[in-house]
Amino acid sequence: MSPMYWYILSLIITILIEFGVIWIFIRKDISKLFLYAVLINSFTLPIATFSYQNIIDNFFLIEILVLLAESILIMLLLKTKYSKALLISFVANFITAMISLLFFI
Amino acid sequence: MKNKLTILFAFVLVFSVFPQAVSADLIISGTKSVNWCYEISNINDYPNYVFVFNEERATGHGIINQGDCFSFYKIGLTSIYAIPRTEFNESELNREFFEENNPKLIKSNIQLNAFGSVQENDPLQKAVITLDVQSLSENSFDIQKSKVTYTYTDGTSEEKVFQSQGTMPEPSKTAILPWWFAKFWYIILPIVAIALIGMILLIRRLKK
Repeated sequence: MSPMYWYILSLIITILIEFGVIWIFIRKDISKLFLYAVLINSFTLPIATFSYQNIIDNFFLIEILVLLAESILIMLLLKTKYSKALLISFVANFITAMISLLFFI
Repeated sequence: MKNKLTILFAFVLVFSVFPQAVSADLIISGTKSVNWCYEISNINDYPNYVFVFNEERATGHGIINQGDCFSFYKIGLTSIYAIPRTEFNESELNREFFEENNPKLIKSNIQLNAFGSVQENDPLQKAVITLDVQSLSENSFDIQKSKVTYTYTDGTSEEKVFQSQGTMPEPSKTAILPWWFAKFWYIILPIVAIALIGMILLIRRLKK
């Protein structure tokens, strides 16, 4: 399969997982939550893959930076406390990081 | 004014009929040119000769010294010559000097091509092709491509040895993604996403 499809597949999987995690924590307005998951991951995943391939060859450091960036975006978009946004971001990124380690890296 | 229009019309007509004349100096969309050059590794082993290259279309000629890395017009074919040092006079070097029957010139067996271009997102930045003089006498000049040194955008480099004179060894690092997808993935997608996030936050603030 072309690498292009793996990139798209990884984005779709990440969006679905992070949407699921956000939905577990904040059970309201499902379409908006999905839109936010799409936007947040469409911003962070391409930058994370570029950084991993070209700037910092350190998966865990990049995951931490993604976690922090997403926690801020979740806080702003979902209008939650930062501690809750950080928890959502941590759980979501922990799951996607495990999947990345198992299947993509 | 009429003359200018006629000249302009002639240009358009010529470049429409011969589009390669236009594309020769343009970089095709989605590609980038690589910084490339040739060097001869063992010029110092032949102190009795002066080495020169000649490309007839645009670049012209040049003297090659040990350590020099030379390049030429990208659609040109370049030949390498040796001239006995006792017969060499730099002021003589001109287009006529490189005519076939010049007895001072010892033409090598090799003709050099430009390196060409690669995909826009390809990590290749520079290619240095190393030539080795195998033998040189009054009537024969054998030169071979020995290796190519690739340098990548991340600062790493590697050497690849020529297995066949006609085939350039492939660089180990190449673009993983098609250029248009790389542009979409790394630039357009995150910019659009953050712009939309910004718009959502802005609209929300304006509604308050």
